Amino acid sequence: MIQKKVCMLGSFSVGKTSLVRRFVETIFTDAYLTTVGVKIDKKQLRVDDQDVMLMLWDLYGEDEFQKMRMSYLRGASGFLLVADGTRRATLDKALALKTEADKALGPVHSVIVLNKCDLIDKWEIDAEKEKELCGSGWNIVRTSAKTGQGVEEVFTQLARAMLAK
Amino acid sequence: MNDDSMYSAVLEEQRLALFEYLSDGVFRPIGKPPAFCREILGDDAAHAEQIRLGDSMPFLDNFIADAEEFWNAESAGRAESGAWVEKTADGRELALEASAAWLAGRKILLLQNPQQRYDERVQVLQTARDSLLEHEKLLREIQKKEILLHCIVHDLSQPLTAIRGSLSLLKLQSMGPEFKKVMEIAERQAERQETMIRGILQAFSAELAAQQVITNDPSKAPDIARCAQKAVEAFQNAFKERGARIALSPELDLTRPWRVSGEESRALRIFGNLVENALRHCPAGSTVTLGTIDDGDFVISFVDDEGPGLPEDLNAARLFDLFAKGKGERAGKAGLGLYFCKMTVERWGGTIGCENRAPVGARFWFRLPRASS
Repeated sequence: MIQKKVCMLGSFSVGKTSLVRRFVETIFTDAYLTTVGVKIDKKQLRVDDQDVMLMLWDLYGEDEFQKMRMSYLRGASGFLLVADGTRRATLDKALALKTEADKALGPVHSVIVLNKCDLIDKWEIDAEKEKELCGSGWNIVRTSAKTGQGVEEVFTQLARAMLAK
Repeated sequence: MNDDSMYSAVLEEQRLALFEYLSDGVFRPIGKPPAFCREILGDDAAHAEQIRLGDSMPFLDNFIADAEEFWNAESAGRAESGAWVEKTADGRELALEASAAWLAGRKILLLQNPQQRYDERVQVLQTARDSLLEHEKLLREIQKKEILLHCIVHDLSQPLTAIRGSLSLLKLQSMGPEFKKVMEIAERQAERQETMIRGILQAFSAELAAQQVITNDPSKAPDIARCAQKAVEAFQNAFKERGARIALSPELDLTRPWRVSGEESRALRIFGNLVENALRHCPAGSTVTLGTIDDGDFVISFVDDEGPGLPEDLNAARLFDLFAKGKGERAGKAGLGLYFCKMTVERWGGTIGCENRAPVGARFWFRLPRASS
C-alpha cells in the first residue's frame, strides 16, 4: 500500500492534535492539552480508487518554548498548515513555517486549514484575506475538529494532491 | 548478582536501552532491553540478536538518518532526537528520546523512556501556554474596549461642531461687553474640548497603528536626523512669535546615515510633541536645540531647552504616562503628547526619557534601534 507522510504545522493551540484525533479516532475534547513531543498516527484512506496509508506527524506548536526541527519534516509528502481562525497571528505563523520548510526541503503539497470554524462569531481572519490567499494559489479549507466540519475533506484533498504528483 | 545482571538492572532502573548500529538501519541490542522496549517492540523483537528499530518506530526511522550523518562525521558529543510518544500494545503512551553517540569506537544508539521528566515538562509547558493564551485573550479584550472608547470619544466631538457654529452666529448679534466676554469664554472652552478630543483620538489611533508592521528596511526606514531638521523648519515661526529660537545642533552631521526602526510620519509627530513641550517652557531669548547622537546600534535623538528645567520633586518617568501633566501654568493641555511619544518609541524597540541639563534647562530624548540592527 502507498504510504504518505503528512506533517501538521502551526502555532500552539490551533487544533493540530484535535484534527488528527477527529480524523483518526472520531473523537474531540474541549480541554486544551499541549503537545510536547511528536506523535505519529496513521489512517488508511481510499482516494479515487486508490488506497493510501497516511502517516500523520502531529508536531508540537512552535513558540518561544519549543522551536520546530526541520529534520522532522524529512520525507513529508504533504503539510497541513493549521491556523486558528479566532487568532489572526496563527495564520501568519503557519505561512512562515511553510516558508521555512520550503527553504529546508523544497516545495511540498500544502493545504491551509482554518480551524475552529464553529467559533465563527470570534473569527479574526476576514474574507478578504482568504480571497487573497486563494488568489495566490493556496488551497484553503475551513474546519472544525469539534463538529467534524471539513476534517475528512481536508485530509482527502491533501491525499489526492499527493497521489497526483 | 554478577556484572551482567547488575548492568541489566541499571539499564532497567534508568529506563535506558543501548543498541549498536551495524548498517542499513540494523541494530544489535547491548544487554537485555528494559521493559519499556519489550512493550513497544514486543518480546521477540526485543530479544532478537539484530533488529531494524525504524520499522516499528517511524519517528526513530527518521532520526536514524541524522544519527548516520553524525556517526559518519565521527563527531564528538551526541545527536539528539527530541522527545516523541509511542503507543504500547495495550494503548498506553510512552515518552521516548534517542541519542546517537560514539562510544569506544562503536556507533551507539541510546533509547530512553524519561517519563517523569517528560511529564514534568508537559506540566510546565501546559501552564506556560495556558498563560500565553490567557494573555492573548486579555489583550484582545483591552483592544475591543479601547476601540469602543475611541468611538464614544469620537461621537462626543459631534455636538461641539454645532455648539461652535451656534456661538459664532450669536457673536454676530449685537451684545454688550459682558455678554461678549461670556461668549468668548464659551468659544475658548469649546475649542479646548475639541483639541482634547482630537488628542485622545490621535493617541488611540496611534496605539492601533502601533500594532502594524514597522519599517526596518534601511532603504525605507525614516532618517531621524532629517525628521529633526523638518521639525526645526516647521516650528520656526512659532518660536519667533515667542521671541525664542529653534535650531539643529551644530554637531549634527546630516550626511551620515541616521535611519532607525519606525515610520516617518510618527517620527515627525514625536519630534513635534517634544518641541511643543519645549516651546511651552522656553523663555524669550532662549534657544531650543534638536540633534542626534550615535550610540552604536542605536541612535539617540534629543530636544534641549533653556527653560527652568524639571522640578526636583518630579518623577520624570511619570511625565510620559497617559493623562499625566507637568506642573505650572505652562503644563500641557491633556497629558497626551508625551504619552504618544513613549508608546510609539517603545513599540519601535526604543526608550524615552528626560533629565535636567547643566547649567540650565532640560533635555527630552528618545533612543531607537538603527534600521535592520
